[in-house]
Amino acid sequence: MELDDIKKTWASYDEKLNKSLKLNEELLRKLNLDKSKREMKAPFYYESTSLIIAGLVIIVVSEYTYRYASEIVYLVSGFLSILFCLIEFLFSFHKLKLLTRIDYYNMSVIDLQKNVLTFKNKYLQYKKIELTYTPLFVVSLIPILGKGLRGFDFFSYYTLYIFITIIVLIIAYPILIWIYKNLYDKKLKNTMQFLKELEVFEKNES
Amino acid sequence: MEKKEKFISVIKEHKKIIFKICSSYCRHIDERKDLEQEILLQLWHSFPKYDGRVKISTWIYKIALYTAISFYRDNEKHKKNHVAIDETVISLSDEETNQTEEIRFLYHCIRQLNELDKALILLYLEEHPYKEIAQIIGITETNVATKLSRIKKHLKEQFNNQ
Repeated sequence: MELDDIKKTWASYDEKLNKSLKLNEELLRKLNLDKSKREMKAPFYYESTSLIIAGLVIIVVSEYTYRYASEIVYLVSGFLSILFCLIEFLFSFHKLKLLTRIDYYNMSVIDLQKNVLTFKNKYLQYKKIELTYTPLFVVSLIPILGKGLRGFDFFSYYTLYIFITIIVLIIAYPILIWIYKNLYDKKLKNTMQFLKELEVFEKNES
Repeated sequence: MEKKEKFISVIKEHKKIIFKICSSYCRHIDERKDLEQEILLQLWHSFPKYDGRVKISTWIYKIALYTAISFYRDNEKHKKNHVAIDETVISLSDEETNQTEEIRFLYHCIRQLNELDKALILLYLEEHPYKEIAQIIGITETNVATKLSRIKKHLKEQFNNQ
């Protein structure tokens, strides 16, 4: 069969479809389009909330750190908490920037794929870093927050504090390693692979 | 006209595009149902941004092909947004009798191509000029011509060996 014949066959099939194709409007209405639309916007809402919370925690902890700056342990606790929050703030900001760059209207199929994959890629990479510092963030935030909110001096019970810190870290890190291996690493590999394939597809003109 | 009604009328008018893309990317009816739902959701999601600067069919092709390619790559993630339905939204009155042996074989050949080549050949069969295909896919016209020539050669061989 020649290519012209294939095209003719496709054209006559297209004609047939005009008559035989039906749209089930009732079923289309049942699809909960609005609910799904909200769910599709979930990453945007999630990152915006994360950005606002990180910003608020930075403000509050900065104030407490300034208040108790004369005590070195609270200065360190506050400084580390602010540092982790600042990282979270910057990550959320970058992810939001990548999300707003995705334009379903003006972008070509390849550009759309590349932008979505870049967001996914950054999301997974940042998630790994965020998960890594979360236990450290928790153990550094608790003393300064306890002192600032309730005047509770965690460091007067330093053996208990060290004990809790060690337990948190011992429990958290094996779980995190398992999560990286089973959830993030495979997905990261797949997105990187597809990005490479898209680049080859774009460049390969021979 | 209410937004949803307007959307339904656009889909009604262009249901062939969605049907052909779903049939080219999915072999089984369940997969087709999921992809169709995913395309409809993506179209609804970006429908408010449509301002008429490009042809509505071009916009539908772009969104539908992007969704089909993503679906092909990552079809677990999308299902969480789906509503369980027993049938497809767009269907043939009598699919088996309407599809000739040649069309069935052509779909079979298209499904064997990689996800990006499927998009190219579909646009070619739909008589889109190379310039438009290049704009929809996002590669140069030369690249479109090179890739299509390879795909066409492959299709011709398959038909001749049938």
